[in-house]
Amino acid sequence: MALPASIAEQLRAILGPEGFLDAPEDLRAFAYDLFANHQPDAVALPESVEQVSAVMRLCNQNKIPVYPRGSGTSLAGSPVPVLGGLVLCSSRMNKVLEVSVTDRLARVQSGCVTGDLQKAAAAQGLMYPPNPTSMLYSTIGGNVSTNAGGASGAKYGVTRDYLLGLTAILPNGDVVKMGNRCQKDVTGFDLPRLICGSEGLLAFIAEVTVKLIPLPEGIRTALAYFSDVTEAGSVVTDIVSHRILPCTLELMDRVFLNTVAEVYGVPCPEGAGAALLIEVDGPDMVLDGQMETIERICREHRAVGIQLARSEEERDVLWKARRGGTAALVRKADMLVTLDYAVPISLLPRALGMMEALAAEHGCNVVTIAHAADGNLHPMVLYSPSDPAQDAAFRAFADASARAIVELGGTVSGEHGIGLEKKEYMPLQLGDEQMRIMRGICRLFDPYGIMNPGKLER
Amino acid sequence: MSSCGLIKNKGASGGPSCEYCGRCLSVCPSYRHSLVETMSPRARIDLARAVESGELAPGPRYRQSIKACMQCLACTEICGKGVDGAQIILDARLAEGDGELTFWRRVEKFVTTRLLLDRKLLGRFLRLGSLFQRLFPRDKGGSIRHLPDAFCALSGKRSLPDMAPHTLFDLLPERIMPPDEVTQCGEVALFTGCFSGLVSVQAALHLVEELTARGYTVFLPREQTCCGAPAQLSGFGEAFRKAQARNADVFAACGDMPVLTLCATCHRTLSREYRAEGSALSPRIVDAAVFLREHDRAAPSPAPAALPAAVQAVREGRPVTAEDPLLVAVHDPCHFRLDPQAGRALRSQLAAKPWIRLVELPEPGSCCGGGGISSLKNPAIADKLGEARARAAMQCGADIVVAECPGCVLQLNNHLRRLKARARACHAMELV
Repeated sequence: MALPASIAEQLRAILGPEGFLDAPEDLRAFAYDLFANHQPDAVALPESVEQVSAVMRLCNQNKIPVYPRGSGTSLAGSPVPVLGGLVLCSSRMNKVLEVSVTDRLARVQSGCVTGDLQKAAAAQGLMYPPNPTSMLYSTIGGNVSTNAGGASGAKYGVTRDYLLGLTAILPNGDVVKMGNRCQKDVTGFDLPRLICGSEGLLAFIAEVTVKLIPLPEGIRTALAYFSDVTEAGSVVTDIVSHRILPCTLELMDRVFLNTVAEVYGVPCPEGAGAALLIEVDGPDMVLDGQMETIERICREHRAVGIQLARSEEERDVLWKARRGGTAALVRKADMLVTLDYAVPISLLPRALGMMEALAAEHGCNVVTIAHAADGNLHPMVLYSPSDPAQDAAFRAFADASARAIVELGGTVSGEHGIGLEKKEYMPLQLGDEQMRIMRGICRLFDPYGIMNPGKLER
Repeated sequence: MSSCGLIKNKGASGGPSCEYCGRCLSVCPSYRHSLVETMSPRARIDLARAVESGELAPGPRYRQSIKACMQCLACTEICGKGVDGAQIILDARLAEGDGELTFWRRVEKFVTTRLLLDRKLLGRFLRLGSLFQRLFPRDKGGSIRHLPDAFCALSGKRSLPDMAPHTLFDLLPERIMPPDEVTQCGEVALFTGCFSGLVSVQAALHLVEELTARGYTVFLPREQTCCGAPAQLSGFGEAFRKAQARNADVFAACGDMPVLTLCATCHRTLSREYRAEGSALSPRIVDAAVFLREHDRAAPSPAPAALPAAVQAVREGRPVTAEDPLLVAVHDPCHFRLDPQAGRALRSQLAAKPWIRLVELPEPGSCCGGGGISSLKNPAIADKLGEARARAAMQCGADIVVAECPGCVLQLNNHLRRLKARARACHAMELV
């Protein structure tokens, strides 16, 4: 359904002809993410805070749904305009506004690609650590909206841990600068961190200020193979118990390794049923000692093979298994859905065992990888949606695994967000009281419910 | 509320399906230029599938999106699932055919389907051009001529290539034998491409000299024609197939000897696009740098007596020696993206020369906007890309940027000149 002509006319006047799109081709192009698909009635591509403010005010007055969007790389359907309305896309607000070495921060527009922010920081010897797999094409605004994590989450934390401030545009058009440039700030509620992870339900994020840290001096990498995922999971808890915090601790299961071996010809040792890609970074003088301890722990857990990287080229070879694995799996199936759960680190071996058992019970082809040091696991389901039996098996597995994770004391989303995919499981985990508080907060920011409607039941 | 669908398999016409992950957004020049999803590979694939299945009637915005693709293959290269986005988009262009025949579209059709395929007509046109170009000053590097600013604006700020007074076919016989003192070791055929055969012949002359010095007899079939890439990239499938059939026949007459190319776009078309049409010519296609590496000289070659004009201009009379080597950067043409051995072979050939020191361009693999017909179809994007690549060349301190693509060389020289850089570009074969 198209927007009323007068509204479309006003939007066009605010945004200019290149900033307002309503051709059928444009509506198709802004309909999807990796999970779902529904066309908006129009698309807005603002270039300034003023344009966003005017668009929001107009939509609020006319109760038109607004769907904030960055690059559309969500895995959970978060930006998909399920009720039509207006997609408000930040892609043309993509500038790095400032990198301050003295204040150790960067200020960027919300459509800035996270990788571009990292590059700008690195040019000054600084680092913005959150590194979701999509960092080269997802936007910082999207990362803030979903509180994105990544492989280094255990050591360096997630997006929220680096958020100092942001400029939010409220549905009524008010421009609110939240937080500031201070590394410490306890005045009032932490509103930037409330907005972080709210998945576009509260406000449009126009600018973001993030904390930066010095780039680490060195990095050491090892790839260790074990007989099964439970053994590999125990290694993770053992490493963490030794007060070592790897910046990477990626767990890969047997099917994952076999697929890599098959597609890329990367061999794995006989008897290997799981592997851990382990990296420690920091001052060079401590890294060798840490890596020796990690190697000893791996041998104590009867590692069937350990490879250490001695150069950047060798590091690339060890990463090939992890990086190429997902791509190799994707090639093997009509559809690959990556689920996202997190559990306390001590429960990771149990959670991995549970996923295996549930996959067998529902007859699903499930491959599990994990950012193991922070207990974040990603069961990847390979299936053909056009086969009704496989489709039903996938849905049954997704439902059973989500419920089992909640039962275990975990969370239904570690880093991908709720969106459409997990919306029915959020109340299961949070309970009535937390849901009531969240709905109240939504009403405070957005009395008419125009922000990303169709996701959180209000 | 209308229904919201889960993303389903879109590989309706075979091949892997797009997962909508968005990885291609990070490498697509036209998306990075526009920052609009509709101009991204992910959207183009979706739109092309929708048009193919009849779900979407193609409108002006669809045509704009399909046309804005640079055919740089970056989306195909980066896709984890192996979706050949560039091919899907090219097929969509071909399915569109003539489209709306505006004046400029008619010009495009005439040039790509008639002029380029008629070597006699093209030859006459170029000879006229070589006379006309004397009105304009020659660049110090010798490969382009400066157009007055008014013309530059009309031509998308591009300069004219410096057109040779004689074609390669005027200068060389159909069969070029090795010198008497060299033992003959084999035969190869040469596919010159339009540019190296008719417009700027130095690279092809160097290649022929290098091949004969190694003992190869070189066949230069007179009847060869354009590879058909300009027609195909413009959506004129019939003319492309005509070119393919002609070249297949011409080179079939040379037995099964390897057919060497010295242009990335020709190479892509002959080896990849002809193969898709089942041509027997495709398996015989070998990139010149790859061939030279595989049939290397025993000893490294000394600095050539006559250096390319671009090198002479940059060195301003200073000879190139091992002590004072030429700093050379290799620009990898997009159309070699799926054949990375070409870039490796070229680097190994250049690195073996004591009078050359290789330097690497920042942002390896970036498109310069000059390959194929990108700069003509999308001048604004090509202009931005060309400037960025020229700045990269200046940043790495190279004296010379080499590329195995005449389009890239022209584009880089154009922008290096505009940026008043000391560096110049030349065809890789002029140094190999």
